[in-house]
Amino acid sequence: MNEEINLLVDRKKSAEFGKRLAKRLRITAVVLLVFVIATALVLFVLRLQLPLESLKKEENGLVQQVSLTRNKTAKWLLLKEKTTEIGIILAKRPDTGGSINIMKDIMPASINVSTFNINEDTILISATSPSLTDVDIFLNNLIAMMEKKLLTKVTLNGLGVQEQRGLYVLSLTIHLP
Amino acid sequence: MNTQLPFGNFQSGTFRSAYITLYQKHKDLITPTAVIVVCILLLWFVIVPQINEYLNLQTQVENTRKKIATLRENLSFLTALPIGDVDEKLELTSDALPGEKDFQGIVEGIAIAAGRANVAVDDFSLSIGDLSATQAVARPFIQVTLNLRSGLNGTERFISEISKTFPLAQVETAQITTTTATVAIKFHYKVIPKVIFNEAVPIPRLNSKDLEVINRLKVWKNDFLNTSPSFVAPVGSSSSIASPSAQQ
Repeated sequence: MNEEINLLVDRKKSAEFGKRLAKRLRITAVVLLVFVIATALVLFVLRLQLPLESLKKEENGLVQQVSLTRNKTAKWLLLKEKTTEIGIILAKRPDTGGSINIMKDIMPASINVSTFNINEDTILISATSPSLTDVDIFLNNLIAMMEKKLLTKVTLNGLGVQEQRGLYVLSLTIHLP
Repeated sequence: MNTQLPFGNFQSGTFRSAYITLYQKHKDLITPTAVIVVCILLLWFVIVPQINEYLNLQTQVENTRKKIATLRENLSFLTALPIGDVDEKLELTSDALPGEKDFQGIVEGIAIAAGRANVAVDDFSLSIGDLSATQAVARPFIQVTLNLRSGLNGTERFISEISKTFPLAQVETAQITTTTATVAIKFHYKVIPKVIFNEAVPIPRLNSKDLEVINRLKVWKNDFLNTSPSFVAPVGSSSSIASPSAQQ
């Protein structure tokens, strides 16, 4: 018999394909259904286990207890703020008194200060001295301080002589760090 | 309603029997397909949002646990804090950094410092700037410019005494001649700020720098009290360090 004219074979093939497809669809449908149901159940159980309610209650209880100490808390926070502020002021404050003291220390006794102007950055000194040696000592002391980086710059604005009075006149600009 | 569909009207028997026949023929495919579609829709519209919600709840639980830990720590710290010690330190810092403009304290303190430095003070002026703006300035201060009848040595002693009387006083400028001096000094104060406390934030502790500041203030205060045996805090002055044993 010629198979090409056998119509039953084609029908059989398409029926088998349909059965296989139906079987696969059924399996997929069942698997998906089971997955959805299982996932929903697991999520439900997990949500039940979350202790959010009890944690919120505990949190509220602790907040109430802390609020009872608010006076102490306010004082402490104020103390912390003031201490921090004082620390900042002290750190940024220039030590004007200290700078004056240092200048006096390195200045030989014979040097007589006529004017002494000090601000945050600079010191302007006008002084006289009967001794050029003492003027030299003073200048050397200033140079030594510069080398130790205690001063950034020293400018000798002028050095003169008042012959009638027998005095050397000195004018300096000192730059503080 | 007459709806035109293939195989005739809905009401007609031909329609029904045609669709029923179709369903019967393909029900092995139609039913599982419908189940798959419904499952996919359930997954997308129900399961996925539920998972997101669960993850959000987990994050909330985690955050709440952290808050509780912080609250416990804050509570334990505050309970153990000795209030007497806090009051003492607060007084010390308030003396050094008053919470308001203390003109009386400043004037009296200048008189004390001048007396101890053995220096005469001429007229002086106080300037405070724009009164409305002081609250907004980060570090408000009162500037005092005073004239001393003194040379370099006396001015240096005066500045030293001022720093003992007012630990935070800042000498801005000094113009000194052989007989007179003009000194500009800043006296800091700090208006008490609004304290906003969030219980869920850890309470800041005093660090080593803060403790160092407090120790310095204690030393200053002790030195001031020791060298001023007749110290009496004036009524109404917020700066007990600057209070006089009025030396003329």
